[in-house]
Parts: sequence; structure tokens; C-alpha cells
Amino acid sequence: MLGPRRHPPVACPFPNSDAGLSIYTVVGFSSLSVADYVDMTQKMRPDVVIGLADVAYGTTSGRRRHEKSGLRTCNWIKYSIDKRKDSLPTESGRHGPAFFAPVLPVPAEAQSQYLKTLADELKDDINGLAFYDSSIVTDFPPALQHLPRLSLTEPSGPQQVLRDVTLGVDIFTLPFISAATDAGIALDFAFPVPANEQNTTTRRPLGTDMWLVIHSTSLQPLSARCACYACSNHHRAYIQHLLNAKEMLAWVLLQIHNLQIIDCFFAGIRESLAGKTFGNDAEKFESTYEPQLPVMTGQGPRIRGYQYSSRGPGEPKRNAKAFGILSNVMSANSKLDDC
Amino acid sequence: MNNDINDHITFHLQSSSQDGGMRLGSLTVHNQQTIKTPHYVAISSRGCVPHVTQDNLYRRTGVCGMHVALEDCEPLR
Repeated sequence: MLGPRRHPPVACPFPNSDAGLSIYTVVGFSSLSVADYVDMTQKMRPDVVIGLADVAYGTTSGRRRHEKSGLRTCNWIKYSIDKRKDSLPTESGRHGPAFFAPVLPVPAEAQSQYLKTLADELKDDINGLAFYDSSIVTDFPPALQHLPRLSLTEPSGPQQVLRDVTLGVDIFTLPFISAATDAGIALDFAFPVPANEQNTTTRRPLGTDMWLVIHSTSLQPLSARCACYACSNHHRAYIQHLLNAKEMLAWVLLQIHNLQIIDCFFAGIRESLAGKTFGNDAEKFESTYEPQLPVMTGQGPRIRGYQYSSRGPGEPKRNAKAFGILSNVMSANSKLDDC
Repeated sequence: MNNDINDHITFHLQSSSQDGGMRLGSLTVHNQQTIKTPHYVAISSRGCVPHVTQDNLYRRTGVCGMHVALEDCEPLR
């Protein structure tokens, strides 16, 4: 699924304009015009293209700005769809990417004209909806109810995912998975909550902080019921050691484990929906687990360029210096030894 | 969904609740892979999920879709 911006994106210093969306590339901030976007997505040929939307990241805006973004996005989407029709040959056998129309994170009234255009004129040309705020899902026009819904929101954890499933979201993007992995947290929750874990007096944590020294002699897997590669082949003690040694393998194993936990979580959601017990199961989940993921205590992997941008002059470096002048480092260490 | 352009992807709603909320569905891409929904797609940097190489991604995880950002691929020339 190809979209214009990362998820979650870095806020750009200049706002979007009719000329294009502000983006953050490897060579700096730039503006992406709809013509370039359509051209590049046609060349790249993904399975799904998410339409270009005038979403103001990192700023709050008023009603007028919301209405302007509705109008601008409407023009961009109409342009994108026209270009798609021009480019695809009419014989079947040659398929183009599916097109997901964006829905803006503004109140439904502010983008009512845009939603009306989607529902009346463009509904046969779009294959799905991508949105940036879950509360808008209930305001989707009835004519577009049959389309798959891609959420580009940032759920804080599994409880928020369950609430969004209740609203009617189909496909999720979950930044908290990698955030937990980077923080050295092994996720540990199951849906529906297994019988032996219900009715506890204290709430269970959603994950385990693998930096803690308490794990240094533990021969338990990361999660008792997980069948992932990390849990089948390694102990907690090994992963705790890898994290403290700042080995890449630590995050490799944690990421494999966390992805497996989320896979099983969604399989459980689908099973629960099929068995029509989702409401009860979701309530039990909310009452069994803590509401937030554990707080990071250790050091994450190196902060990458696409995760932040500097705000002003004189900012401290995000990553600790890895090397220093040998004599300075030696004398610093010997001072520590003396203590 | 009634013309050629839409053959690339099909979405079947298997069930939805009466008050317009939660829904079960299946999304089929290219008439090949089917993703049952609700599900997630992994967030990636140009096709790379953080910390996991492509071989491990296919062998050790069940990830069946990913989100790619065009701004990560700019400039293309």
C-alpha cells in the first residue's frame, strides 16, 4: 500500500499549498504535487495507492482551513482518478493499482462537499477509503459502506484497536508495534483473554520490559503461549543479555515476537466477531489488562533520520556519541574505576 | 465495483453488525492473496519492516501487507 507520507510522519515547517503536500525526504523538506505523485505511483505499481490528501500534520487549524483542505483534496482526488482512467488500457488482463480515497481528519461537516463528491460521482472509481481519524468512520456516506477501510491513525495500544474495530475499521497500521520493539518491550496479550488469565485482582501488563535485570536468569520464553521463532528458540535471559550488549539480534527477535503477538491478536478478533462474542470479549480485555503499554526504561536503537527533524539551532544530538579520543575515554574510565 | 479498473482488488463483507459497526471481510489482491479483515499491515521504510530482513519477514513472520511511503522514495531520479 503506497501512501504519500510515512506513518507517523514528521511535521514539516511549511504548510501544504495548492502546489503540493509538504513532505520530508532523505534530502530534506520538499513539496509533492499531485501530478508528480500520480506519475510516480503509476511507475511504482503498488497493489494499492492511497490518494493525496491535504492533511496538516502537527498543527491545529480552524474551520476555514478545514473547508479549504476539503476542497483541495477533492481537486487532487478528481485529478488522480482522471489520470488513472487515461493511463489504464480498456482491455481487461492489464490491471492497475487499486485506489483508496483519503478522508480528512476534520469534522464531517467541513468536508461534506468532498464526501458527497466521493459518494455520488466517484464511488465506482475508488476501491477503498483511507482515513486519519477513527471518529469519522461513523460519518462515512452510506454509498461507500461496502468499501474496505484503511486506518492511518496511531492507536495507543490494543484497547484502542478494539474500539476502532467496534467503529468498523478493516485494516490497521500500528506504529505502536515498532515503538514497543524499539523500547525493548515484548508484547504479551491475547484476545480473547484466556480463561486462566481472567478474573485477576490486579491488571496484567500488556508487555514485559526486557531491559530489567530480573530477566537475566530467566529461562522462560518472552510469552508463555507464543509460538514465534524467538519464544520457541530462546529464553528471556538471552534477550535481556542481547539488549544490554546492544546487539541487533535483540531487536530482531523482539520484532518477530511482537509481530506474532499482533497476528494472533487479530486472528482472535476475527474469531470473536464470527462467534458474535466480540462485545463481551472486548470488555473482558479492557478489564484484564493495564490501559497503557509499559514505559521504556532502557535505550532504544539509534534514532533514524526519518523519525525526527531538528527544531532549531543548538539542539543536542539525538544519538550518544559512539567513539571518542582514546586518551579521553581511557581517563574517563579510570576515574570510574577509582570510585 | 463494476468495471475493469477494479479487478485488481476485491473486498467481500462477510458480516457486519446491525448498527453499522464492526465488520468481518476479506480483501483479495490480484486474485491471489486474500487478507481476512480486521487485520493490519506492517509499517515499512521502502519495503523494509524495522529490524527484520526480507528473508526473515517471509520465513518467520506472518506479515501479509505493508505500507510504503513515497516520501521515503523521493527523489526517484
